Amino acid sequence: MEGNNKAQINLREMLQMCRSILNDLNSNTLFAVMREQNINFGNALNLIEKYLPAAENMLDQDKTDLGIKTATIFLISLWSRIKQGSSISEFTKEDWNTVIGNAAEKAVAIDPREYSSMVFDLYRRSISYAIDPMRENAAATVINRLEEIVSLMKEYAEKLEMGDMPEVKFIEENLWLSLEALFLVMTDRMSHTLLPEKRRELAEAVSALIFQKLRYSHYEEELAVIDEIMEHQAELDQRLTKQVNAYINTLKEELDVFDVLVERAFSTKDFQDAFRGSIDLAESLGAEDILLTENDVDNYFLS
Amino acid sequence: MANKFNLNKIAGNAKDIAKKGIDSIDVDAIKGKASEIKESVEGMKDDLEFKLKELDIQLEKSINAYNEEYARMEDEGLNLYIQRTRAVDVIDNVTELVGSIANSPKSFDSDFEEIKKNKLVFKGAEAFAEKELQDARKAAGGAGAGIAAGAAVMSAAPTAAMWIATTFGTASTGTAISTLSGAAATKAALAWLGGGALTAGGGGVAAGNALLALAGPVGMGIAGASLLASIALFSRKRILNNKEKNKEIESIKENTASLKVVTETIHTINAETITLREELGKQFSENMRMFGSDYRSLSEADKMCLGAMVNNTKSLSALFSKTV
Repeated sequence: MEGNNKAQINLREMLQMCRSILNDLNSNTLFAVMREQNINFGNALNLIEKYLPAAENMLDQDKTDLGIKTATIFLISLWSRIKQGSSISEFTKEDWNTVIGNAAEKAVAIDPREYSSMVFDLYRRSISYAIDPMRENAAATVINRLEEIVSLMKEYAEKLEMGDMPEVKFIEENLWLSLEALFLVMTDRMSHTLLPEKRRELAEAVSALIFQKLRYSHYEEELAVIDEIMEHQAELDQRLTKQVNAYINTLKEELDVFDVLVERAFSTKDFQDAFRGSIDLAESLGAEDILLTENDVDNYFLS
Repeated sequence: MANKFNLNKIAGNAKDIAKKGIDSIDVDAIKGKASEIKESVEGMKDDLEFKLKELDIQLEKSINAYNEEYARMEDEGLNLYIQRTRAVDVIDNVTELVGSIANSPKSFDSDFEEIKKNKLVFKGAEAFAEKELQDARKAAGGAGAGIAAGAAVMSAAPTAAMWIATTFGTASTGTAISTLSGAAATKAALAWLGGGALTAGGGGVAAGNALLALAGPVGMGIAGASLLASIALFSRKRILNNKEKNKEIESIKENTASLKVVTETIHTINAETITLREELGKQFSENMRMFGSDYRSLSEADKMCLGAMVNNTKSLSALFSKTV
């Protein structure tokens, strides 16, 4: 229950935050466009608030995640409408409310794995759409690699769907593939705009080099950390084994001393020596009120 | 481990290039280097994957070792409890024998407590995998926001990027947009950005496709930046996760070592208790012949034997207070 309340507070805080952010927004952004068209943000947020109960059940999802998801799905919903032929300038209040409402509802309800899949499907489609206009001018190697990337992303999506690829690996591979594709597309676009033809190949080569170097740096850092961890674990194993063995040896030595003391304390050959042995044994074990002399023994039995 | 690559070195000395001209750069050499690094990266990825699996194996192994050691400690603890209970029987017998000889009743401390250690619960590989998944999903979330924002900025506020198009862009005719003016410049700039069809009222499938192609360099830049941020987040979180895993393994191993120490200590106390109990049992049997005797009538040797037996019983009793 406490968790539920906490989630509720967080989400309400988030809405409060959204309200204040929206009030402050005055830039030439999508929100400003909406503002120009007299969209009631209060109503939009109220609509999101309507989906709070469902959101509150998702205790493992923090407010940032939910906010990002909502915003992403909102924008994707917007694209879909635009793709269907709608123009933002023609949107009515109801259109906006529907888009926002759907986004809030989907962000809460969508399966996280499905969301990951959706994100990279968008990248794959974007990359795929970007290839055609490039065919005429870009190097064949660039086009081939982009096509390869699209094909790999599709293959990974199928593997994820079939359960043949862990989601973490799917995300990691797709992040790098998408970035590589963006590097290639951007380099192509920028080089066509800024560079003479003979320099484009150089730009592509440098771009590829930078991208690979970037990947190299990331994996190098991760590998260094894991190597350090492995080294540390090996050292720890050695240290602990040494410590435990040293302790076991001490115990063995103590047991050897104990055996000698016991042998003497229970000796039947010499009763006086056995008595002295019993004193030594009792002292070594920290016994109290030990009988140290013959008088002590007499007093013990006669008192 | 792959060799280190120095990008500055690869790109060549700037002064040399300036002297010889950019055309002197060996493009094939750069391509070759890029593919060489790519191969190294693939090798590093495999190496990393292998080591990450190794770390998970270490985590699981260390948890199993801890659980096994805990079970061993419990067995030793139970065994000690049984041996101490048996020792109490011997002490009771000695108490009875001494009481039959001494003028007043005697007693030996025979209280002991069962040795108990709370079993600790550690975070297994599964819990770490779940955390890694949540972190990866956050990275995917960021990438999603990037692609959405990239397209949104271009679709809703093309003017924000107009300066880039007008400064760097080239119209389809090959003319620099900066040299155009008025409607022609706007049209060319919007076309360059890719979102032109939309804001110019075109819409439809073409606009949708343009949006999905990220609408141009600005949109791509935003998506690219968020991808970079997502990769950095992914990588950072994985590093932190592995560092946490490292600490968890360290803690498990240290606790297992502590348990080993406890188990060995109990084992030693157990061995001492058994030895002392058995020897005292024998001594008691030998001294039983004096049961009910008048102490004063006993020989010097018998008196000393009784004295040794009392001390040995105190020794066994003292062993009860030995803890770990």
